[in-house]
Amino acid sequence: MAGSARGLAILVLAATTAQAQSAPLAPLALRLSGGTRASGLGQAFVAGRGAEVIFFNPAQLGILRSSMISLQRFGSAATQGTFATVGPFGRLAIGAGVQYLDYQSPATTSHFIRPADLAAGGPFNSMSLVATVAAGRVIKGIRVGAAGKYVQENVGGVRDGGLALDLGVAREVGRTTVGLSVQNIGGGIGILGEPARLPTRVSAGIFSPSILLTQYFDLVVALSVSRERDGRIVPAGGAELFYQPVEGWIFVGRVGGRRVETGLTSKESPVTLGGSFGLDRLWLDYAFQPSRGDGASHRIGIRIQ
Amino acid sequence: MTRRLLPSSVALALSVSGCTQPLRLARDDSPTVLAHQTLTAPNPSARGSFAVRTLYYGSGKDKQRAEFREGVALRTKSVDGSKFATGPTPALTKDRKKYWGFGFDSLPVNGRVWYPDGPGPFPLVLVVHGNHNMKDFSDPGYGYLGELLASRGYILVSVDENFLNGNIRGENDARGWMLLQHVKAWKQFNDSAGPFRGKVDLNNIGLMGHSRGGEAVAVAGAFNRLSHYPDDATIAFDFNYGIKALVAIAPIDGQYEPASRPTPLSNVNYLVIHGSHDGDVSAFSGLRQYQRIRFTDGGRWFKSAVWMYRANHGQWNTVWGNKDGGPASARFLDLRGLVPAEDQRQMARVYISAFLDATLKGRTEYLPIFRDHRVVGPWLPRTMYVTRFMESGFHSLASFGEDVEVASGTAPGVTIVAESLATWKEGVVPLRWTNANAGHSAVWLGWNNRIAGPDTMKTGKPASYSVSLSDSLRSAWGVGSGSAVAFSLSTTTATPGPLSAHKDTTKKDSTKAAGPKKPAPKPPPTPKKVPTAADSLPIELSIEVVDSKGTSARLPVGRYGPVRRPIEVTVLKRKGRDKSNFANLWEMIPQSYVIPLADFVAAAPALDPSRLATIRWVFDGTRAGTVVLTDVGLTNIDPVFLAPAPR
Repeated sequence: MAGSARGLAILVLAATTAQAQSAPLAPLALRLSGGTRASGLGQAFVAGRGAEVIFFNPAQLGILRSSMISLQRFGSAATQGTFATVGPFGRLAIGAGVQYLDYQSPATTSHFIRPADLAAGGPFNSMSLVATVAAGRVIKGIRVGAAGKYVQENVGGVRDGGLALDLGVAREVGRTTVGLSVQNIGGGIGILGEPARLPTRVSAGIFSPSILLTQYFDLVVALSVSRERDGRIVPAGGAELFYQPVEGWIFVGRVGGRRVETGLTSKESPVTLGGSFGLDRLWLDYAFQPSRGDGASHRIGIRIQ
Repeated sequence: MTRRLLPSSVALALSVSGCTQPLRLARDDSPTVLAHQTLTAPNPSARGSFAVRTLYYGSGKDKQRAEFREGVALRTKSVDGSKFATGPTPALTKDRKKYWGFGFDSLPVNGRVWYPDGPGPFPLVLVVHGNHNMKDFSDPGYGYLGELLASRGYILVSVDENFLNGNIRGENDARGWMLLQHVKAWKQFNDSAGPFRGKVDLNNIGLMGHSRGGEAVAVAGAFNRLSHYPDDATIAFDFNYGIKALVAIAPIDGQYEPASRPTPLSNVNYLVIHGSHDGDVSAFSGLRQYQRIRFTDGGRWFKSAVWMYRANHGQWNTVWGNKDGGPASARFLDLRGLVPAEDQRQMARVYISAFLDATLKGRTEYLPIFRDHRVVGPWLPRTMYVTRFMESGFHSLASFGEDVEVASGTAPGVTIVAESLATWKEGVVPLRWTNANAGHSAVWLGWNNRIAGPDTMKTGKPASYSVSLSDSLRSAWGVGSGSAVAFSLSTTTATPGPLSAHKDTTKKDSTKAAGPKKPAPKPPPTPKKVPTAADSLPIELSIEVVDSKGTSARLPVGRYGPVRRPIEVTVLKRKGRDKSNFANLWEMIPQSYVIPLADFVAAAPALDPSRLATIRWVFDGTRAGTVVLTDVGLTNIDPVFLAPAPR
């Protein structure tokens, strides 16, 4: 199983390398983080757990029965809403998720913009949608999963859609979770004759168990590295500090970082921050991604797990 | 910024503190109950006269601990325990083997020994820990007992069973069997050249265990007399060692059941201690084993169970400490109510040392401690205790579990009568855990001596509960002036309503008069029950005996042991969690009372104890309440158990 996953990863890597930098990447929603907790951890969530893992690695669906909803603002020009629910179902783990991005496109040199340009806005009302269903199971101690996605981009009333596929594997090594996923395998879309490729991505990462620091504090560390279709290598990582003064009451501080696109026009900050408050199974999450100039991103979410 | 942060911080602090329940401790009656020392003997927790030496024995190949590798003074053969314990999964079994360097088929017989510097022979006492993080080795945690007991002339071995800890279950047969393998090794040490040649008193062996180890000592006690392993009779046993004493510290019960039945035990002395604030074994489950111990061979045996208020699970082991649920357990356990660790260990020193002296060395002067903790009040840390006790002279009149007829007793010819009781029912004594019981039955007796009506001071004849025995039974048991009435009793929180007034049948009933019925007068509103100071006062009741001539004598039960209201215990930190996690906030532990018939004779010299006919509990001291009564009987108790009770 691990061997076939390796083979698949190599195939996709080769494909992404050959096609690197040859066309814009779309839909835009596929290039954004799907969850608030993951956002706070610099999107190093390929080995994560909880509902939002459906946006990162379908192999991890069965770890926790969980649902989440979140809302993210990019400056004042764009809003993303996400919903996901995952959990074990007999011997299978299943999940469903939706990402919906409402934004204003400048549509100057291309109909497709980058995430870093979201806060800038533009004259064209646009939206980006991803609807996902996923399933996974354990085979010989290794969790495997696959997700099918319907993706759609609508720029100024002109839209196109298509299908995409995610594949993932994960397992525990000691108490640490190791995950590998290949996301957004598919043909691509086009707007007014301008083709865009899916942002195919190969990611590998780890997610630590809860590390007891003192009798009230725990630490969780997440790390990942991704190869994007445009050829960029994106390392990412994050850490969460849990403070639990009383059983069931948990306060979390979160910091993350990831490599962002460089260049004079890029406004993304590599640092992300976040926090959560959990009361038994209910969690309130917040994430913040600063920006150089206007357009910092704020995100709030609710999780039940 | 500070102005904005301050309200948020205050709100946060308030919300966190709001979900933590305030520390709730019961009113401590120990200044009164433990005020007097009536036992005249040296304090058994005092260090003895022997210099203490230490050594290690074991496989000599231990991968993790130098003391059981190059540190061993005596080498032992490893034993095959694979029929008794297995890993949870093949992968975890492999991980365990990798860590320890051996599997279940090659378990080392490792022990750390404290022993007296003297010629001997000395009684052998093994102590074994229970389940804990297997990498945080538990066996060094009984050094305080090792130092004390070795100085007092015992060989104390803390047995290494860390390799049975961690993520396995149902392995308590292995823990018990390993103890017997250690005794086997000690027989060899005693018979072979070496530091213990001829120094081990193998006729006087004591086994002590903590938590799962507490159950393991009972398993070992049972296996010791069996010819075969009950769950696989292809394994023959040939132990039959001189095990005279078992001590269970906060034990679990039922983790292993031989042939799927609760572990039976007979003809051995048994002491079990448990803490009210146990955050691991949160109910006094050792009472189940206590109840199952039978004395059948005519020898002098006894059993005692002691509950210590504000003691936890782990402080009896210096490695385990106060966090019963692991290093992060301060998040869910309320540790504020615990007694200091040293106090908890001092209690263990007193009880364990006295118990071993009494059972392995014949020091009978300590026996009264196990009947009534009040006789050594000043030796004990100041907190509340409940003691259960039974010795082999006990004959059961009523144990309330043999049938569903409430008017008959356990022994033939016993009859039971109740008068003016509001509650009279038999049932199984529950444990604090939901859907768990203490493995024996009792009778619930509720009373309210007030007569219903506007006059709140009007009371009727006090309620009573009588157990009568036949002449033949009295003769068969040899009841006489040396006998005593024995029973165990607990109070409950239930308070029945007042008695109905008897109808005056001499007057015409106006409600049956001809003509239209008058509407019934509106009953006065029931006042809301408000806890009063009286609710926290001890319950007072009397016990009366009557001989066949009708001569009676009555004594207050409280003279023979505290009759407390139920003691509520909150173990968990989060508000409301105890209520949702446990069936009861308080544990029903009946206190035992042994009342010599001679005391009744002193109160009424005309009473003839050899013609005892009836024992009666008279609820004459407290207007209303409910008690649970069990193990009612008569005993021809050895007078050595009867140190004078504090008055």
